[in-house]
Amino acid sequence: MHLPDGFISVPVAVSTGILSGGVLWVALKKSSSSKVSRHAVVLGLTTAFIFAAQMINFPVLGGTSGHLLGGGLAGALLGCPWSAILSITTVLIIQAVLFADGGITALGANILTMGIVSVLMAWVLSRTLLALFGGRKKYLPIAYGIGAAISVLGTSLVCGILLSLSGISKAGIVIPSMAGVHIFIGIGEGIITCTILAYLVKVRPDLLPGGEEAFKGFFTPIVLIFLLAGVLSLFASALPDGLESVALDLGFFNLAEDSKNVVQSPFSKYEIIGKGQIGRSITGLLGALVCFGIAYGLASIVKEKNA
Amino acid sequence: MSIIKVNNLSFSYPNKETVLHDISFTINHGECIALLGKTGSGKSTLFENLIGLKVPQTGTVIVNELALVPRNLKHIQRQIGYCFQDPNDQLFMPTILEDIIFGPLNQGISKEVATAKALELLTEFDLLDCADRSVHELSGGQKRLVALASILSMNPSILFLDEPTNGLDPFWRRKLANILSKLTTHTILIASHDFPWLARVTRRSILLSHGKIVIDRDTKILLQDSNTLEAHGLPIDW
Amino acid sequence: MLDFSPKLRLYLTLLLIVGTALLKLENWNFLSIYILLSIYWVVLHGVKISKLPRILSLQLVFLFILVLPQGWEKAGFLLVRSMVCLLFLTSFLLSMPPHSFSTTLRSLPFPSQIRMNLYFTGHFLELLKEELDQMNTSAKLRGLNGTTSWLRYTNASMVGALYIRTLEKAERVNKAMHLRGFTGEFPSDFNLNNKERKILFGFGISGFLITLGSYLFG
Repeated sequence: MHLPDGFISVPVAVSTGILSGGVLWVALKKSSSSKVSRHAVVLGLTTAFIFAAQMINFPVLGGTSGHLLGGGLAGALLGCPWSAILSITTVLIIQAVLFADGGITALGANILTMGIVSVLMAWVLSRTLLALFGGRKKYLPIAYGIGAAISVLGTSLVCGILLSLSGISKAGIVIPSMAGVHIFIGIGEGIITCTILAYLVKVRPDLLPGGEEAFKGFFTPIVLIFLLAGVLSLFASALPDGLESVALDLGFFNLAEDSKNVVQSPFSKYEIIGKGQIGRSITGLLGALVCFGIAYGLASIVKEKNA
Repeated sequence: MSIIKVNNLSFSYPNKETVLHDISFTINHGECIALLGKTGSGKSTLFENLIGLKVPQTGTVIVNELALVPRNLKHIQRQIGYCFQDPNDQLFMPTILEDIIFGPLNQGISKEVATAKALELLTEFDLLDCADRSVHELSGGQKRLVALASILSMNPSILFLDEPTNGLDPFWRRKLANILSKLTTHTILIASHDFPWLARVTRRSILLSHGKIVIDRDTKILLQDSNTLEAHGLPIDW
Repeated sequence: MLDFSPKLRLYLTLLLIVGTALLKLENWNFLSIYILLSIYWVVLHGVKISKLPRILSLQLVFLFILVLPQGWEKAGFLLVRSMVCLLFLTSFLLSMPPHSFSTTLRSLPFPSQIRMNLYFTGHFLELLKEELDQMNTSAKLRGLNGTTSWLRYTNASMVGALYIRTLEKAERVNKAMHLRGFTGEFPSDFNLNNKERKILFGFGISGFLITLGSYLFG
């Protein structure tokens, strides 16, 4: 969603401007080593292409239609998230200055949400999924489609946070409102991105760059941890597991409730009191990170011993 | 029997001067006609008016006894096959075969029947081995023929060809001429500057100058009149 | 004022927008100064009234409704402030000569790589849009209709074909530019002459004082 002038507060406008400027500076430095961005014309024309593609009304599902946003597609075509950030930033500047779509003072916020969060989230998710699918090009459309769809939701959440920080509305109202609308937009984005990439994979797979390693090291496992422990855990079944089921059947389930904990944990039963679903997500994340940390520490010790 | 009848057609773009002035002519069934005129004389605009892409300010167009009005537009457009100046504008499906069956599928024809017809056309044009290739692998001449095939697959009775020999070498120009000469049941209107090619392919020529029809004559006779052509901005010796 | 170059009018417009957008909340007195200025901007650029209703978009209405629980005054102020910003920009845009996008974009004070990207995008956007329109026309003339998935497949094929042609075009343009000595950098185009700098400075100071005033005398 393009934030207009006059709705975001001065502190939010300034801080998002500075943050976006910083990321753009990094993107400018890193993209100059990219094969695609080395030629300004190629990047410029790809950007013009994304802009032109955004103007098409795509039939999505059951009579509805939508427009491409392009964060995921830009990453797939350019093969480098930093170039994609520059590309989408260019589109946003043109939209703001020449089409009055998105405010001038809100440019920093719009670049942060639609240019940076959207592109990076789509990139990380898509590359992770593609790696899970064995890295084969035939799975590229579906990987980027899913990445693009989820990135739209992520972007809307960040947008909601910025609006609530600007005092537009309470977080509890604006974030669910934004997310609710953008779920459908995200599905549309995913379908459109997937369909376009499917065409290119069929006709000219050589034009889809291999994808430079923008994030080395632990990004892939960290993303997986976030997805599993932080997101999928929200959908965990509330039904009793095997032991609990047997305990309920045989009537000794209440013995566990009567016992006293030696140490009172704030995360008892994977919950944080008063935080509801989010609390479960946070405890899942914390637990996974602690396990990762312990495993990493042990592995480092073992590696040193073996060296 | 007339298949296209144009009466007093005038057209201008919004807030600009008139492009077509009081155009009137009749085209009979089975004729192959050249539409001549220097760049900017209004040839493409006339095509767009005849196919309903633009609406004239005055005048009438009758196609196969149907008036070119909104309620008849779809029916008329099904009868006219329009080959764009740039074949890339028409060819966008993943494979050549899919591009050729695109029109018939939209008409409700089954995929099997459409594919059979497409393969027949490709065989006739010596392009059968291109069926599963993408348009981006073809040469300019091949693209031109595939664009024509994508129109012929819809069985139109009328063909509009906009600068069909642009960028073609002599081999493809001859091939295109041979294919068009076999389309005796079709009525064809060709906008072009390629005089030698037009002399072989068309019998009648309509010359547009400053948005008006100035000459409507036998092609061979007109092309021998270099003074007249020169006077209307078409120096034939060049 | 219309004698001013498009570049200067663009900078003045951007200054006015920033000044308006940064006004203190619910300070209607100072907002009314910018409202009057925006009306002057509309009249100066000769904008037809019939083109103005489009500044009230669905997004603005949505945001207005979101703020409404906090009070009519706040919601109304935010909406009016936003629309005033749009009035400034829309007036300027509607007065621009057609096809002058790329020149305008190149004069924006961004780093060189972004400026070049802005230029090429603005320059080629119309061309690519025309190609897409032609493909669309050709599809419609061939009776395009059918299920959602068929329409989506067709649209995606058009866009995919456009991308391939765009890349081929980019390679040709790149070669053509390098053969004519292009070194990879465009000269900057945001320098103003002395008179223009003074005008810009004057506007800038005035706008800064008005906005500052809204906080000091709010």
